[in-house]
Amino acid sequence: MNEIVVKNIVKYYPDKEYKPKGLKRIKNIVAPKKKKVLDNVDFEIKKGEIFGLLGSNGAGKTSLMKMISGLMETDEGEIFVLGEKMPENKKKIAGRINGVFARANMWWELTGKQNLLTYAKIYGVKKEKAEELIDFFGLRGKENLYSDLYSTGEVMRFCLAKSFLNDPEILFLDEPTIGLDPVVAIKVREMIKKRKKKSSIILTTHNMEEADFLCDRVAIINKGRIIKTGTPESLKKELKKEEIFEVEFDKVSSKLIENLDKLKYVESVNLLEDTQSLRIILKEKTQVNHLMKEIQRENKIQNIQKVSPTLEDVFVHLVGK
Amino acid sequence: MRFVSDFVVLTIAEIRKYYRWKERIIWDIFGTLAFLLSFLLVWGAVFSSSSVEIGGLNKDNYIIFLVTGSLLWPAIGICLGPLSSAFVREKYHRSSTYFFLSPASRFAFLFAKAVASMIEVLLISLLILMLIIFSYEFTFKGSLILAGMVFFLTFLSFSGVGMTLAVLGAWREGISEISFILSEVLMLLSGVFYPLEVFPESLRAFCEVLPTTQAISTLRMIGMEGATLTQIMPQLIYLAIFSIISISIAYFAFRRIEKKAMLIGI
Repeated sequence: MNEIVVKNIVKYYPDKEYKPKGLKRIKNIVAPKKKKVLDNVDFEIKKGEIFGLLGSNGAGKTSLMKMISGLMETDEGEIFVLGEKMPENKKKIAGRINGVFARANMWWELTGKQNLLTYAKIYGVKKEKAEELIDFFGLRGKENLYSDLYSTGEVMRFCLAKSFLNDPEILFLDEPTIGLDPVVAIKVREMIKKRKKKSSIILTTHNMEEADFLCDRVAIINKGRIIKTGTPESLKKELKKEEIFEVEFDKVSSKLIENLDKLKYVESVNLLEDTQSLRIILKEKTQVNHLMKEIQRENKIQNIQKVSPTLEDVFVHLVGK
Repeated sequence: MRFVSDFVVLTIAEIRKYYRWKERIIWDIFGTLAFLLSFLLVWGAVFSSSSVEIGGLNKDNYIIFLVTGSLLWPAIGICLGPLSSAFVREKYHRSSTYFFLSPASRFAFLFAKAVASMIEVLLISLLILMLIIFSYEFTFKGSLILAGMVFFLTFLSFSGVGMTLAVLGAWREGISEISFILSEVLMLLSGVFYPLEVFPESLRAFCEVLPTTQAISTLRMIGMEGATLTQIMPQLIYLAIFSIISISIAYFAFRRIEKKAMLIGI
């Protein structure tokens, strides 16, 4: 059964880049010029599924998430969550959903525990549940500090604890690991994975490894349109017709990256963090020899290996260089 | 039922938030006391050496005149300042997103903020009253119940103004500065610490129709002249009408801003 149905969503925002002059200014104040931020978005999420929305900054992920959770209206199209039309019938299901949003905060004048206890009462949950979540998220000892004294990671863990309070049937997670250190991020991902048994989860992230680890299916959004939907595995398989190499050089120069990137048969070139290695995706297998010749002409190669595609490769391939 | 339970939970949360603002509250008390004590000294000096009378103010009644003004002013000042900024803070700290995601009643949220402010007003006024009772001798001639009614209606009227400012503040920046200016101008023009007779007549006519002036002068009628319900009925009706208008405007402004927020995301 589908717990979330998103049908042909279109959303416009006022175009803030449009700076008219003269009388057009007044016209723009009365009826602001709009730009499309979501275009014909269509997908469904099944019960118990973790569905990832992947996209660059400004792709429309958070807007879409807010529309599904009833925090924003659509301009066209329909959204049904747990069988109820959103945002009109949000009140009917508000107690059955929950989530965290990247830029949202708890009440900072209250302590973490006071925040959780207040929301526990709002959601009609016993205070023992809040205590249990404080332990679950490793926040014991921090719970009585005011919320503005927490680190980014602690704030996110408190927000996640808040979102788990009512055992939601639908959990919205908008960039749940943004700003977290790797150790905490891994812990949070494990917690989300465990949550899957109880909730259907819709997740936005820039972190492709995270999406690969967590999501059953992903939708890649670019400029407001869903350009691909599928399981991470199926998307990676589609890319296998192409070739991906990791080439270790003596020294990687920006000129080398620039030159390789210009080659017609090269899809993308990325410098691997803290290494002298480049990850090169070719558009076609047959071009491998050309690439080798090109590289070896002026550079000394230490090592070269063919690698399997990642979700990040898929993303780069679909969204473009 | 949902409204009542949310209202209780949110009022407790709001009072806890006020605890975080305890320093601000202490300074609010000091501020009001500083004004009161300054004018007690000024008027005390003016009336001690002569039998002069300024706008009905003389050495026998200047203390109760100042006390009534100082007790009522926090009700107005808190609505225009801290209450309106309490809403604006929710927007800028983005704590409203989680609230609007939850099943809680939005109107319980509005009322909880107003009631928490009212509790703050009562505490401040009581504290000031106790300090004055122990330091000065004065008699409150009228009914305390009537005085309570004036307090309540004044708070109701200005909580509507405060909420409207807050709603506008969630839409446009700089509203807290406008609230501050409005509050200061009203304090100067409403005769909180001096009789309106010090103003030229043309300005006085304007000052007298201000709701702040009406509220303060009504409380003074009760405290200084022992006015009865019948005598203050016109002023009470005026304040009641102003309350209905200000709260209605706040409600429609809130609905409008909520609709606008739904277009761009809460």
